[in-house]
Amino acid sequence: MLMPKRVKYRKTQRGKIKGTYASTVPGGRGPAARKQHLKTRRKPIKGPCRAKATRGNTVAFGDFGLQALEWGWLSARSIEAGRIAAGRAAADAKLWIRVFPHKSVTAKPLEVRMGSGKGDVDRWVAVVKPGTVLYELGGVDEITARKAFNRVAHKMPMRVRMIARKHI
Amino acid sequence: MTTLRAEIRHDHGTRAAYSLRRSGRLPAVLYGEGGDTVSLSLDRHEFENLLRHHERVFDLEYDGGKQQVLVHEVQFDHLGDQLLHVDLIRASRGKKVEVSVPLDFVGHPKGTPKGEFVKNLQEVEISATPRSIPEAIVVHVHDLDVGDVLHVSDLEMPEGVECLADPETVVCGIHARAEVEETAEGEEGEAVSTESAEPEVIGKGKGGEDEPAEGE
Repeated sequence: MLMPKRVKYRKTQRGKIKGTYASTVPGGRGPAARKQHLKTRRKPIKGPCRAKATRGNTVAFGDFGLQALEWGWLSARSIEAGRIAAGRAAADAKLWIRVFPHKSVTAKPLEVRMGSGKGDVDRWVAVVKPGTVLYELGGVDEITARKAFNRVAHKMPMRVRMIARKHI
Repeated sequence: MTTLRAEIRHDHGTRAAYSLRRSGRLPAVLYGEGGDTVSLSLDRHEFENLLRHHERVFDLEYDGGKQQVLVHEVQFDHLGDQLLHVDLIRASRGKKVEVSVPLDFVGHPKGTPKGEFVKNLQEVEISATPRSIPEAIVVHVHDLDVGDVLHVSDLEMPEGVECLADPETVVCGIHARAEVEETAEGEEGEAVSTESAEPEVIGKGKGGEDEPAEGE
């Protein structure tokens, strides 16, 4: 699984978990679209979603990309699961992984009382903001890429969509 | 040629741009060809229609004058859906301009099952008059076999279009596929075994970490 080779500090602070996807409703940001979307939401809204991907939000290497629409932590396990799923669904394609789990997350063992310092490093995650391109595929047609990304999407902890390279 | 009306934009800054976009208009800037830089606003719907029809060159009416312009850069929001800003450059009729044009790969390479089709270039820099800028440069890849590569010199340019890229640059090719079946299984097994491995901590033992002290 992916993890950094060298780090300055083993344990990081958790950071502020931003709100969910109130402002990232696909197909429009109007009140009607948002109302409809909020009816079917999976998680409660914790606050305004202000974090947006200001870089790494376009298809840069391949022809198609899988773009996150929500904020979230993508664990190294999920990245690996997505890579295997894409590799099996589109064996002839070239795959790029555009995110890396730089952030460590700690956890305490079960049935342990609180206190006694911070827990041990449990997993490594990538902080994903709406717009981040997670994977890219090249050398395949759109149908194959869509099929592969559909498999990958089921492994992702946030809503995602497929995008194509944008030419002006 | 399509004509678009623009208005001179006097208010600058983030808040002014927000309110402009909310009113259905799009901030834009026009420069080049020795003229002054002008801040403009366009009708967003009209400009989206132009982009949808792949029109890069059009006439712009503003301040009582008319000028041929070329779309230089378009900025989108974080999801790549909403237009945020447009850069336009003045383009004189008959005078060549330098732009990058996407490559359109046509066909299915015959060496694909054995090899991996890799695109090294997605766009190529060309020089052409505004009216003769092609929508894309077509690259036929039917005959590519394993080990074959296409260079920029192999590209067929339309009439009146000059390629500015280095002729020796590789456009695409088919690389022999490595034996991955055994390693794929190994990687999955490796994922479990490396789970407990920890990264090296920079500066460990110089006071940055307190673990050695706890051990004593």
